[in-house]
Amino acid sequence: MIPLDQALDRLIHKRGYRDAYLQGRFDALELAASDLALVRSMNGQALGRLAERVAGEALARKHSGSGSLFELYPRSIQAWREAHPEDASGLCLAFAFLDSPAFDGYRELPFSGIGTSLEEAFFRFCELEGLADRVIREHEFLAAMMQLLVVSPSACVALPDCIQRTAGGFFSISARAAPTLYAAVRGRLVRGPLTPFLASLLAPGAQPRQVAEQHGVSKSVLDQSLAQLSALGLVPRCS
Amino acid sequence: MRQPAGAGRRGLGVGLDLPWGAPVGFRCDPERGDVVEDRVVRFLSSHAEAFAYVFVSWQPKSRNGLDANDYVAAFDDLFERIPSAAVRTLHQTTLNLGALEAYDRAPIVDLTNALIERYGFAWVNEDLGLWSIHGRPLPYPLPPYLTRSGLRAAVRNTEAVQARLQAPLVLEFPGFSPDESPTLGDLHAYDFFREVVEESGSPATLDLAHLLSYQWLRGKRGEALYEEIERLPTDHCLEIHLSGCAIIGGRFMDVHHGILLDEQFELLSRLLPNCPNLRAVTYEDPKFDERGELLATTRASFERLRAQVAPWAA
Repeated sequence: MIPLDQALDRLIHKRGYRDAYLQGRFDALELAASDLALVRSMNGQALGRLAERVAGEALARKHSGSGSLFELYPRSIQAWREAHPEDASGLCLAFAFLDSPAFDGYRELPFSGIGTSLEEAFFRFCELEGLADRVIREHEFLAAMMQLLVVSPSACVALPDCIQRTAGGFFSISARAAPTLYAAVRGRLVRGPLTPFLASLLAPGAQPRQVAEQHGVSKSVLDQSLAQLSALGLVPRCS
Repeated sequence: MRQPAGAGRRGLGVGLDLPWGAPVGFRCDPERGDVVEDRVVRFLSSHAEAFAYVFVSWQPKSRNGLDANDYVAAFDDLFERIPSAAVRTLHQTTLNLGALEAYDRAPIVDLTNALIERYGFAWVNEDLGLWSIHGRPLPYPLPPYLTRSGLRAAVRNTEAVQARLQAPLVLEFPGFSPDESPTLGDLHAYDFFREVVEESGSPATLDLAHLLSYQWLRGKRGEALYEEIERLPTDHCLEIHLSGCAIIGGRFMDVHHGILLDEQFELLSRLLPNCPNLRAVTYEDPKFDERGELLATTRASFERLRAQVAPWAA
């Protein structure tokens, strides 16, 4: 059995659960008899309209300068549209996203527990669905996360392991293609290709001298590199 | 009942939502920093004689953890540039007082207390509803769970906030959207609201659009819309809100467009003599242009409200 608030959460966000309710498959709702009676007396049409609006806003709502998922994941969403030409509005995509396990960890507000950002939840959904090319998915994800963190550097979300903190902010390096830096440091976005040496230098736990030796880089070049990274606010905490 | 400091009727007030990035709201100016839009200042300055009271809503600026310092520049700009005579209050939007699930309100109360201390807000208003569920936002506040356990939770949540907040928390009767408010529970919403208000010893805000939307949803029309006001906690009523409403396709819509309905004026006339502790009647979210002038479509509503409130405020 689940409590009433969890049932309302599922009725709003989970199409499968909502369909069970609307189709009268009440055993699937996992509710005590008294709570089931309350749910059965609810206005199903109003619930359906609310659920539609919540789903639509999940994709379209702009987040305090961070942009909407439509804006942050254009190529992944285009891949969905090409596979689902009947879904002109994107509502089926929105319902599928909310229905997926990737959505479950998302928390916009931290007061009932910290969760993942909407940006990460949507990336996890795209991964599950295999939308677009994996390199594109990673690119859109890291760009979206840096957009979030440049606007909200103290965002109350759990960050994925691929994002590193520095004194100046946050950065990540793409792993699915030639190394590219994505950073949100000192209030601005930084993005560009990295040499394998710089990528190794920025790797978690990297020891600069050892990295320089492995890449055959002189001490003076190492020092210059560290100075440049430091100027950008990118020197990892361990350096 | 917890009363705000200072006695007496304030009269007509104005309430503004002020979201970030909206034409009527706050914005980040590249040169001046966080500021309020000029049209807000123009409107409030040119109507200084009309409004003895002003509330502004707290809206999140970003997804950062709550920190009052993030809001000081914008609120400083607002309160330095608008007439200072009006009483100021704050409308919270995150207390989620109807929630059943665990919800840590401490950081919200801390932020609110910091704003109360800096700006002298006389009280803090909040809808008795659900602004989010399990950390995920809702497009507008849903009514609380109209059940006995929902009532107990609402009392508990309100008492906890009331105990820590440095100004009185004023509970607002929630809205009931005809299209998108699936209501759980069969308690009468007036009874539910009255019990929470009375048990928690809280002052109350009666939003006339919210009251009418509830009765409309129950199929009431005409004279029946004004029935049952004796079930409301009128002796706890500190504030009455009037926002623009419309009846569209047979549905009562709380659209906040500045145009008030005859039904709102009628309900106001019936409530004014029954609310002995009323401090303010608030015109919520008036619509005005860049020069700060009320839109022509809304002027009649404003003047009618002003005229109706004047004898009560005198």
